[in-house]
Amino acid sequence: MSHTSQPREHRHMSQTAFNRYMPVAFTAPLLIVFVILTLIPLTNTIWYSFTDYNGYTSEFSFVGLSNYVSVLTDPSLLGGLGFTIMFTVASTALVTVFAIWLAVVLNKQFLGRNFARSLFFFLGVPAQAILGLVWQYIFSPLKTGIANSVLTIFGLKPLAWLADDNLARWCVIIVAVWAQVGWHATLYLAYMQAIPADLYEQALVDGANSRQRFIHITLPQLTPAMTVSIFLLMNGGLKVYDLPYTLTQGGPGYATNTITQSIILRGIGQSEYGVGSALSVLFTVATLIILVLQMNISQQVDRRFS
Amino acid sequence: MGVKKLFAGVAAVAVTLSLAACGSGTSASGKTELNVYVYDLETQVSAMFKEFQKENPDIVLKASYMPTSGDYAQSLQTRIAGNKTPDVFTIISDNLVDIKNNKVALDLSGDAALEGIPDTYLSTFAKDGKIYGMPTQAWMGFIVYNKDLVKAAGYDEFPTTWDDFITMGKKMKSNGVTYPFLEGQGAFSYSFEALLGSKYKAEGETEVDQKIADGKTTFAKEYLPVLNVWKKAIDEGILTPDSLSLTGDALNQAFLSNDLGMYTTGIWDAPTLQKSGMNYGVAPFPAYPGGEPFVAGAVDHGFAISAKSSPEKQEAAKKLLRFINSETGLKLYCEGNGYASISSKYTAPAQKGFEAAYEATEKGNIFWTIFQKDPAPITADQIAKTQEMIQGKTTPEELVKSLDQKMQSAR
Repeated sequence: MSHTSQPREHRHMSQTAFNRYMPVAFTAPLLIVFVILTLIPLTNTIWYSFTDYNGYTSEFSFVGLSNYVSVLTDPSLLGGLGFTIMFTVASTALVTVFAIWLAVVLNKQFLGRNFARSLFFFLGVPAQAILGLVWQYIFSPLKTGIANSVLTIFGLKPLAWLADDNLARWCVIIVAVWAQVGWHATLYLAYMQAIPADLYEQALVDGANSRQRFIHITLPQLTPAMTVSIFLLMNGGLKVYDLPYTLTQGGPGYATNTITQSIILRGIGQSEYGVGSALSVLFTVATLIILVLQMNISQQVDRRFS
Repeated sequence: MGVKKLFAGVAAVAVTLSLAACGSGTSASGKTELNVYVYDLETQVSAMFKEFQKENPDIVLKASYMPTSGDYAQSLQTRIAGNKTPDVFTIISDNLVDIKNNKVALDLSGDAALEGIPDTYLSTFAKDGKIYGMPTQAWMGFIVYNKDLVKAAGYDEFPTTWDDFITMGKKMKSNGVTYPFLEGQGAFSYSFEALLGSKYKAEGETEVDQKIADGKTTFAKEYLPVLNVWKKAIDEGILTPDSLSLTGDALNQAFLSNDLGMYTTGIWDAPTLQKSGMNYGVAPFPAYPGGEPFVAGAVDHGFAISAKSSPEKQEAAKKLLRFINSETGLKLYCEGNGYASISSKYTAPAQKGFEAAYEATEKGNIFWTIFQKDPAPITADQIAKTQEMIQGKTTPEELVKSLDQKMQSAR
């Protein structure tokens, strides 16, 4: 007995050590990447936000909170914040509504269903920067622009799509919704197919019509998908850069300027790393608060319907 | 123990990779490698670089290109901030002041590379007696017009005054031309800059940009009269808000489709226009009252050498700059992008059909503002506020007030 107990104990200890250290070993590469690509740059950004660093020379000095004052008093930066929030809220709401609607349609049996599913999914495959350049031609304010040609066919006057503040803002949102709706519909479709069929069968027996089945069965069952989808949409919306940059270049004036665009232009393009960093820090904090709030609300809704 | 080994392994790989990334740049074959980053299209400089390689087999050029100014300035600054300054790069108006102030580039004064380039052009790249950039070309922005539409409006010659230009635009409009004149968002605003140059010359003003930066004069004093003249085109519906979202390509296509009477562009549209078979003409911008017609434009970007490159690389880079400013180099460069040479070592022939723009340039009737403090933020503000003025959301007075405030708070 004593002959075999020692190796067994040794094996047990080895197993314990293995169980204790292996998760660390497996997460170590990710942690290293996180530290190098996120934590160190974030720390640097916080430090730069209190300096007058311009990106060209390593000689810079501490300037206290003056960069934060500059950010909070600059009308162009505050305008960028306004459009970013408008873009995030509007695109999240519209994509959610249209994606669920599209998922319901794509979940039904009809000829060419698989083709339709692929078609809508692939709308979101090209980079948003490419979409911005393509849609710039569609929304040309000239009579020969594609959107204006369509209006002319119906006897309507051409519109200055990207040359008018409000129209330009909605053009950016419409393109973003158009590009994202297919991908999010696919997400909802996946969750929809996991809804037990007997729920619908029982509802049918109880005489529920299609609207009632959608509101009382489909929607509640989709709340976990909505949590994921809305999180991704809000996260992407708050960080939006490439689409408005290529579609409108932030114009006309500062109408479609976004916070990320301001951070890049102010920090790098205009050699004001300090101001750009202060804006980044404030934006990171604001994003964190918004996303935590959104997660909490989603979890509460999730619990309500689970 | 295993975990420690794992960490040690990862750290070793990371250190090895980072050291590999910091190599000297000298290739295994003993050739000197030069990292070159230029504000040009590859097609514009490839023949010149190829010829240089042929003549200098001991130097290897690793070139990258970015033809849009904002993106070029941003990406170059990122490289500088990351201590990866290219050995040879270009100084453009967006980064001119920062490069000069922060001594990122090597002082080229006295080097043979600068021979034949007039001091007036070198002065743009000079500070405290040092010259940081080597310009070799000038760019021009001008009006391209549809000769048939201009004739139909009753003009055999293109108007030479701004008021007459507006009158002609109104006649074009009454003739059914929907868009008499448009300026693209990427070419904004050549017509205003040309008017400004026309006014400065008429009043004998020089170095106004520097005087504004030094606080000796203001935008309110210098810009306001010109803005009021320029704005007449907006008030009369000749220059419309449609301009605000149109790219240069969109304007070119609209012009070639006969939808547009006149538009602003540069020599880069020459190949398309020459091949189009259209009856087009080229003219400098009509003059400010009492002045002469001007083209928009200035000395083009300057080639610079990194102050942080090794002496070996700096010597190779100087060889490259000397080649660019040689007859062979300039010929290939001017053939590549169609620009005019400013070096006495080579005179580029005027592009056929574009002689009027070259003539204005030769007379010195060429102007472009270079803000001497904080150029990027002030330029961005100027563009945004001018767009708002075209939309009728702001006035010339508010625009100059904003610019003066920006300049006063500039570093």
